[in-house]
Amino acid sequence: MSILIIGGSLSGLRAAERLRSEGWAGAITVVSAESQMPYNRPPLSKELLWGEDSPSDLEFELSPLVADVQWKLGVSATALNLDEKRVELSNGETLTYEGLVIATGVKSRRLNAPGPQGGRVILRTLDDAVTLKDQLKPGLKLVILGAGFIGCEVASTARKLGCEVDVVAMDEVAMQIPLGKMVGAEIQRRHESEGVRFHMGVSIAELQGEGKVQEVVLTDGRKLQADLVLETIGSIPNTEWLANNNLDLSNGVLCDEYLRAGGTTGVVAVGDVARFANPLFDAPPLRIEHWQTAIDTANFGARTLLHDLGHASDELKPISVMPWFWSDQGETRMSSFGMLGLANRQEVLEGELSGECAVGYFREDVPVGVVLVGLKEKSARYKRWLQKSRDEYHAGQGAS
Amino acid sequence: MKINILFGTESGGGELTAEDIAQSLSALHETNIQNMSDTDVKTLDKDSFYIMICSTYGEGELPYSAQPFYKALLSDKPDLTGFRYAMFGRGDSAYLKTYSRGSEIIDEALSALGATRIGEYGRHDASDMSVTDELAVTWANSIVENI
Repeated sequence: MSILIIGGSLSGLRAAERLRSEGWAGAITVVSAESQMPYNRPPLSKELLWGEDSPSDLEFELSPLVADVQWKLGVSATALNLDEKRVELSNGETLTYEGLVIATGVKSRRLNAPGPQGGRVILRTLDDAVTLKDQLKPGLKLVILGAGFIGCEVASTARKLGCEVDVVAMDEVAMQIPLGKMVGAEIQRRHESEGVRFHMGVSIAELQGEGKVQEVVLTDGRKLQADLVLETIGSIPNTEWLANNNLDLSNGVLCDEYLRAGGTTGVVAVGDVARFANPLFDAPPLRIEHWQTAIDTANFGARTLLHDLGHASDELKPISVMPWFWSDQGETRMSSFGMLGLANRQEVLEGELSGECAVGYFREDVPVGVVLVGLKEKSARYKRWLQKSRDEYHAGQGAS
Repeated sequence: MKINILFGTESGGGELTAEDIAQSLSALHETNIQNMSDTDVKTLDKDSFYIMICSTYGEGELPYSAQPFYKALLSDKPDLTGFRYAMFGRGDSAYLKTYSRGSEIIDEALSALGATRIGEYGRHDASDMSVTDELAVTWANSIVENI
């Protein structure tokens, strides 16, 4: 009996560990498109870029539990045959499985604009980060397209390294998609006070330069000088290899309440690529690209798989997760619990927006999330508040 | 019996654990909750019982609120002979080498000063999917019943 894990990042690694810790003794093979063993990605936009961490600092320590797992690095899956339980790999190999974990994550969305390709970079992998780090020198003119987590974290790091930073984004304020307008505007103000220049409500129409970008033309006609353009405009799930199996692959792999891909017994999807409903927040199937959710879904998916393979007799419970993230941007440390995107109202619960604060996110007056700016020592308390609010809301619904 | 609950925390989880334990024990005992950061090591009381709660931060380091307490133990070197405590560590076993290390640093410092740890070493493992906040309460009750 063998389990095949396609994808060798955090979620793939944690799935392998969980399978072993729950007693799975059969073969486990992990196939990873990257040539490195699993490493920690959050520092790629922060500690690694500003030089506090080296690439080897980012490697995950491997548990003795996974010592006999077989790793195929630098190899990607090219096709799945769900009926015949077979995966074809880019090196020509074909692997069969009894259980399959889909953990292929996401890739960076690229800007479709005319102009030279030189000087356009993304930040997703360790290789990307090392390439970017080598270029972030004092005086470099960096244009960042996109004002989400990666864009804002790199903007902050690049200022720290003495670069000139322009951020270009279609949204009204920085961090608008993850945090909403109120907190996003405050985060933007903080970045501006550190010298980051924001150009909001526009995108890049064209890049100009001989072989390498020297200038970008914005959609409103303005021009910005640029030595380097970092594209951080979201991600695309790596699902091409899953085509032609009757799976719903619109924005990730649609999973059932046990993370089975398309409800298929013995096949689960975990991490950034998995799209699943989250009953704790009455949320429709969504992908959650957070570090902790990669771990939570890996643990959950591993259990489903063991159940499906007849290895565990416990009855399965539907998945329910408390999404959680943190983001360090200059002096500002933010953390959040819940699903902020569901909110239609925000309210400062404690502190001042311009300083340290807790902001509640509500949908029809029911809490769906909380963001802490600073106030680190309060995070466990607000997490519990949110969990309790959801439980009470659901209990009330059940009673009515 | 008077039970002092001291917590060292980074993100406030230890404080919640302290409150949960205090609430559960308060029917039968006098309880007092204190952040390690607000605790003068000279006031550690040999006539009452202490429950220590400490998390781990980063690569096996103490959480920030436990750091001044630890430094004061090392520099003031109070004689803790006869001082009795139980230890509850909060950690994540995904960090293989440093799991629950923060609590052990405090534990070793207290032992070195002559204090006596009572009962089973409590541990909350964030990677253990079956663990809930109830674990600490159950642990504390069994410790206190057996003092």
